[in-house]
Amino acid sequence: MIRKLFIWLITVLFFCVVIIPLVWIFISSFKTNIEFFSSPYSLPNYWTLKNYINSFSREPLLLYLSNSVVVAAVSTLLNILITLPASYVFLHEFPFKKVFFVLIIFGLFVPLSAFILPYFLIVSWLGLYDSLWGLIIVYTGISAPLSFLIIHTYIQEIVNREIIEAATLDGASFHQIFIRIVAPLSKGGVATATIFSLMIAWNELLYAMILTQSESSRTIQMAIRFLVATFYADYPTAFAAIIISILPMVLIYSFLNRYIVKGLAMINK
Amino acid sequence: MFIRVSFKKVFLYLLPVVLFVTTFFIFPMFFIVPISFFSWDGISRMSFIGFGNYFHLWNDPGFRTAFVNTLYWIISAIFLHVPFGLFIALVLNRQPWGWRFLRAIFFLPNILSVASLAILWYFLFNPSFGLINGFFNFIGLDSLSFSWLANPKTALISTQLPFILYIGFTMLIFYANITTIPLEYYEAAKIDGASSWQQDLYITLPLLRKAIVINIIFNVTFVLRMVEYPLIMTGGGPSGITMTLPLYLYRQMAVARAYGITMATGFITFIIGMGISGLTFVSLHYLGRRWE
Repeated sequence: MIRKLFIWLITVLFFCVVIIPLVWIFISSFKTNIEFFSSPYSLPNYWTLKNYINSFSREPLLLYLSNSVVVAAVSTLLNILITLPASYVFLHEFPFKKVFFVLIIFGLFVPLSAFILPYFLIVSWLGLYDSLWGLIIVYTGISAPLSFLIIHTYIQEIVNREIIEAATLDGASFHQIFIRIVAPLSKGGVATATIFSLMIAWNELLYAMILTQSESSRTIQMAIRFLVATFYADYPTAFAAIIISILPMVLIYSFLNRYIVKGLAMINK
Repeated sequence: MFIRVSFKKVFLYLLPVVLFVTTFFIFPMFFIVPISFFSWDGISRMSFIGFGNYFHLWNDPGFRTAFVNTLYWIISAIFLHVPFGLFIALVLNRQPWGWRFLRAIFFLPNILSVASLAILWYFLFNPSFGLINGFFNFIGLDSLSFSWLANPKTALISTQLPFILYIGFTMLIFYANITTIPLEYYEAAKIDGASSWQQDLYITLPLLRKAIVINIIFNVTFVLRMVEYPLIMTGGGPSGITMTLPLYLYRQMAVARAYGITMATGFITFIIGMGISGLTFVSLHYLGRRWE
């Protein structure tokens, strides 16, 4: 009985730590500045959308959001385009198969902050400093190991090797098997990898800080970083900007969270 | 049975991803060490100084604080975070009332950007309107209501506190693994009269050792790349006491433009990360033999 109570206490406490702060800024983002400072913990007397309008008019948030959308979408697309074919060939036996596998997933073990200067140099040498393309190729690279692992595990589980043998006997070529059979079958794995890759690209800050400089290539996370300075002493507007920046991920999560659970089960294997 | 194919056939399929991972994970390893022996600001000529950058780091109190703080982060990741995540996973595995909802909420912080959560916690710690001091005032512990982030005694622990939000990731990895354990194991133990905690200790835990390794590696790499909490909550202050290695790296590179020192620090960070991953693998192997 006491043990059960203890478990509940910890679970409820943790629940509060996660959810109450988010509810607090969500509610506060609908208050006027004066009301927020006079009673920071109450419900708003009247709900106003002014903070949301303000955060868009005082800062080019729309530009930052669209930059983030472009970077996340293009890097995720590239990511799937490079990892899906690679995952397919692991259904076959070929020379140095193990070496390639380790080479591709090696990145999962690398503490990425160690490489900030090398990435900066690589991106500068390619002439992509301070451009969205610089961010796109870096994000494609850093999420490639995870996407590959997820799609690879999915394909190994779902594709019955007898199908491939049968197709080979029927005269289907190596490439045809990929395009006609394996690629359509790996939809579930691709969906999971897509979500993880979108999340990494949308939420990344460290590389956005060192690889971009001008406002025109700024992502939404960079705007979040400077929030306290930009909306100094106007915190409800800052809260509104935070809500705007996390909303896309919350929406994706609320509709697709079963894929995330599946994806984490795959990392395990 | 795998069908054997020639290397020529798979080459084009592997080329793009190999190109990317070599550029971003293999290639940097080869110039991180050489450049760490030079003094360089990215513009003027590089000059060779041997181990100069490493001596500089050794004598730099800022680096030492960053190093020690990073060790604290790593220790809390391995010895607090992973066990606590396992605990929550075991609780949810009993499927208490509302467990699906709880699971979804516990994972929620992992999909939000670290930057937005860092700024949220910066506001929570605000001395005049933050929820934390508000809570202490409300329950009558006024002495605990002070500027946590500005006080040298509490600043480090305050920047580490939000780390607990990421328990959902650890929890889900454990949870996914627990669900693959055949139920017959538990039934057999029940017949032998094992309590539910004994079942967890003697059946679940040994079978989760692979998940433990994965969680340790993921958490340690997360800690070693995470700049946001110290950067946004305290900026490394007050007077550098919340500095971590990733933030130190960022400062040396982007603010001080000390590229040789950045490479040397990067190499040290890399060795810490790879070293812990390696050690974890070895101990998994050793423990695995003892348990079997």
